[in-house]
Amino acid sequence: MVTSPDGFVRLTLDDVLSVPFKHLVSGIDEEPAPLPCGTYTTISGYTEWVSDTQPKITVGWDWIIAPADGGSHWRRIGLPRSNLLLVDTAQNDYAWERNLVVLATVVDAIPWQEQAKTAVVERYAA
Amino acid sequence: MQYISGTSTSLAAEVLVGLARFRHRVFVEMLGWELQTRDGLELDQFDRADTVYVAARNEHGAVVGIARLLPTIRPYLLRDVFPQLLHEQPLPCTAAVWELSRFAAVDFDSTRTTPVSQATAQVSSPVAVGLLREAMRVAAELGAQRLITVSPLGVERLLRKAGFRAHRAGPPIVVEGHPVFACWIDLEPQAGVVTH
Amino acid sequence: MRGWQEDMLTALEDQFLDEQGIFSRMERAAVAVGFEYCAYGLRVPIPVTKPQIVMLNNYPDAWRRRYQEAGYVQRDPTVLHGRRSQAPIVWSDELFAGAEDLWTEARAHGLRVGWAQSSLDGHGVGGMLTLARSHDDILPGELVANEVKMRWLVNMAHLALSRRMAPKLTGRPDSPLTPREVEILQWTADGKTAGEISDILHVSEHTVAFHMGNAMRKLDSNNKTAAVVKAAVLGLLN
Repeated sequence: MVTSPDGFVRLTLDDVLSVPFKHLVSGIDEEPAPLPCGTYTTISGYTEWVSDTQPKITVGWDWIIAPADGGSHWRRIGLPRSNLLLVDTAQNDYAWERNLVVLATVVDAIPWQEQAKTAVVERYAA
Repeated sequence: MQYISGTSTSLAAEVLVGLARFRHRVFVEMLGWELQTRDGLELDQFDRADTVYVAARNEHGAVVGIARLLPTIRPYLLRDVFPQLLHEQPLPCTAAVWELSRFAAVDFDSTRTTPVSQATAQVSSPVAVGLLREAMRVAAELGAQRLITVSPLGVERLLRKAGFRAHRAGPPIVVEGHPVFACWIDLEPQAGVVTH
Repeated sequence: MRGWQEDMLTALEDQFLDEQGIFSRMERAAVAVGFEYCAYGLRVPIPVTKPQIVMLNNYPDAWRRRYQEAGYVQRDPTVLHGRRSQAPIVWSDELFAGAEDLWTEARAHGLRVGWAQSSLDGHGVGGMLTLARSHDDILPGELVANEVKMRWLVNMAHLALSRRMAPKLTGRPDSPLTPREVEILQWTADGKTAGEISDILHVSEHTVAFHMGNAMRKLDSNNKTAAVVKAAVLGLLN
């Protein structure tokens, strides 16, 4: 596993699904501007994960707390940000957009919510 | 919007002073960064004879945006001040990579008084996007294939939202609770601006 | 040769691939992560009185028949777990306490080791993937190495199969509900009468009835209550 001159670490989807990611840091977004009256306020933030490999693979994404089934559900929002570029089995690069869309499916397969929640609660508990 | 670019040897003295004053207003006065200043001007050891500046001026001739470009074959911020952002990776040292720093787009003439966060001040407006594209064009003319920049999470997000092909070079370092990255910006192909 | 993950991605993108085609790719995926058998159940919440369940699997025929005739889907603890939680579950004696007959018979048919996880989308469609084999217990090390891949397969299977099968099964409207129609359905769901809605939205009762009529038609429902419930269950009122 190497970092290419363009800054990307190239891996196949199979390899990426085998990388154990560890939680690094999570946080809540500060509200940038006052909301118009009556707008439903949602809590949003970010979470950052990293691999133990050399070079390190970094994946981060934004989340939002959405109401669901009487409780609340932490959901990924938007495409992830990463130094990973997926390649197919013939070593061809994925296109930029497709890379992010497929990395999003990988993120959705990681049980990240518990750790992000714990990290945020610990961090912001007075 | 008018763009000017050049080095401290090619730009007029009063232009350079104007840029240093603008930097002081944005980075020292508005954002509260702890930087070396003198007589209301902000300059550091990376403002050299070969440093390239790109600036945006509004219809009144006032500076509304600034970007600083440094070749990675000579000292630059990431290498000399924040090398840990690249973790174990080698620091770029090639004519194909330039560093972008001191990037901001703020119109002090504007009468709108919306509260502005650090990230918002730097990258979210159409002026910022236009300025960044201009900086990318200037860098490309100088032989760059990609830019590297030290950026907080908010900037990486906004770059992506604006349609630039930006991606972090490695995991963040957490500075006062906020993730900071070394971030690559691809110059080729230039992505279209996303309107939303 | 393309990997099973690429095959699952293209299964999502290929509009000519039917559910059997999608399922064969899931079978190959199951083998790749170390399981002989693969089973998928898709549950659509309409009609409310009798939700539809479609099952695809490569279990031995004898077991398939037995499961069907015994009506095991109503008592299967893995299915019941999947209705309550999207956490993965591993087959065990504890899990099947209360359904020992099902457990004994499954094992007699060569299904002794299994992992299952359910998924639920914003349209009320639920799914559950089961990966099973005849021997070799699932040890923690296997899950550490493979569970992300298995979870990924659950998500891909849900996306591909629900996209393929759910519209037909739910009778999802061909033309989407307009924002006005959604609004009127939402107020009706909250118990407002047509008169009250006309006041809230500052339109005539005639207009309210007009939009409700269109919504009922699109949702293929005979009355307001059925229309509201169907829309809510399909996640159209969120």
